[in-house]
Amino acid sequence: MVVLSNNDGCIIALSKEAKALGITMGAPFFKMKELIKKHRITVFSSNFTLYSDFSNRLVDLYRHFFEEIEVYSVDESFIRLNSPQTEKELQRLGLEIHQKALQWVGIPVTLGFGPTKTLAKVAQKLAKNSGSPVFVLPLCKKAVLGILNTFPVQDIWGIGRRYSVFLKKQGLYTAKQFTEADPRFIQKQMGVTGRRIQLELAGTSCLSVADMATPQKSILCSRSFGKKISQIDFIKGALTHNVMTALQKLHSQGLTTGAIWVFIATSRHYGDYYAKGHLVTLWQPTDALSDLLSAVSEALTFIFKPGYPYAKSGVMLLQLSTKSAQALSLFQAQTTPQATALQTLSLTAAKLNKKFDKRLVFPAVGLQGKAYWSMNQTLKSPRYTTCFDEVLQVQA
Amino acid sequence: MEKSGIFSGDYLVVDRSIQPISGQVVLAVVNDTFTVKRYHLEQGKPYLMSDPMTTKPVLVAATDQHTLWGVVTYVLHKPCLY
Repeated sequence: MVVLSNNDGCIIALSKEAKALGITMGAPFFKMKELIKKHRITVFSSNFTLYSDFSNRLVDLYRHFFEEIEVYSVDESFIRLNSPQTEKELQRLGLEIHQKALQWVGIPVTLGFGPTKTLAKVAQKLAKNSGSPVFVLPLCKKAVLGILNTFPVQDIWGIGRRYSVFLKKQGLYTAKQFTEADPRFIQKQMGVTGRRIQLELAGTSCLSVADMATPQKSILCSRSFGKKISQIDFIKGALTHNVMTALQKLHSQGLTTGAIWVFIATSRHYGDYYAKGHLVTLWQPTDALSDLLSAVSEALTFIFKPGYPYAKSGVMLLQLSTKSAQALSLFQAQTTPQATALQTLSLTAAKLNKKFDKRLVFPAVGLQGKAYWSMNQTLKSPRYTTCFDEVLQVQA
Repeated sequence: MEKSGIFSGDYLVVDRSIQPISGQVVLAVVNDTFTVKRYHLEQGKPYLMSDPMTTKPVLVAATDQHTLWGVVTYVLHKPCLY
């Protein structure tokens, strides 16, 4: 079984059996079609609504048992245990969570226990590799070093492919070697991030289990198009939707944005690659759709080149601040009746879209080119858990 | 399953966290298909039956967590128009 990325472009998840048959992670779908047909592998388009709901259910389950939880991504969470426990107790706890997650939600989770976040990730990787649902790092430091001695540097959380290639060139192949490297060298080459990883691996916690109250530094929203687009109006349509998605996230955190980065790009896989972005600083921090759409129009004049087959567009909202923390701008725009009316319209539209969980109301410019940039998602799983029309049907 | 108050078109609320006990309506997997049945323990042996009994009761391995998928706790029924 395999799962495809947005737009049915690449393979983003695959079962052990599919892997054994030669399917590779991240491979373009069209390249694997022969193999899939030959072995009758089942294919699913991504359905993030479904996955998010399952993720929420798992987090609810963790909340039954724990207080300090950080939902790191749709399929990963960090949990902080406050009371010290023995290895045996942790093992038992891990197995209990695994069993409950499987029983209550139907998802087999893998757990790793360690004194720091980075070490917990090491433990989790070891559990996954060994096929066991739980791995508890020994409390004895010497034993942990023994484990890190056989743990490859590229599998360390926070060390990407580029850094691991560099580290290997320096003769650092294992996690143990990395912890023993000269701290000043690591600081110089990898910055404070690298030092943090080093310290965490050595057992000193530098990364706290984040309180969800910390606001984001930026909000990114980008999408690949279903078909290539060359018309500027269609690009505007796609960008309108990028902005609306980003705004949803902005509103949900009660933030305003001071600048917006707009970008468009052609495909990396075919022909000449062209990608350009432009930053527009707004007159004053805002969360209004109209302000951002004006900024998008402005940005496009700098980045749009006719004749290119664009494949992707996106926006990034920067200089985020909470509504109450705004400083008044020197050039504060007058609040005209028109501006107030527009603001009311935007807020009403946002409310409607939230209520019906669908982008029902949006600026007309958002209609342009929809047939082109809408995602291809032909093999989606039904939204079993969030949509009444797509609930599983059974017989008695 | 009309005798149990479950009619065609009804929505069922299924709870996977409850251990099924004899007499409850459950969502089960039989021959790779999801099905709604009444769970019954007869002389220590677990069975799945429809009511009225349109098919033969199925003997179940109660320890197999995939066979007994969850317990039906509530039924959502839409009142019909006259």
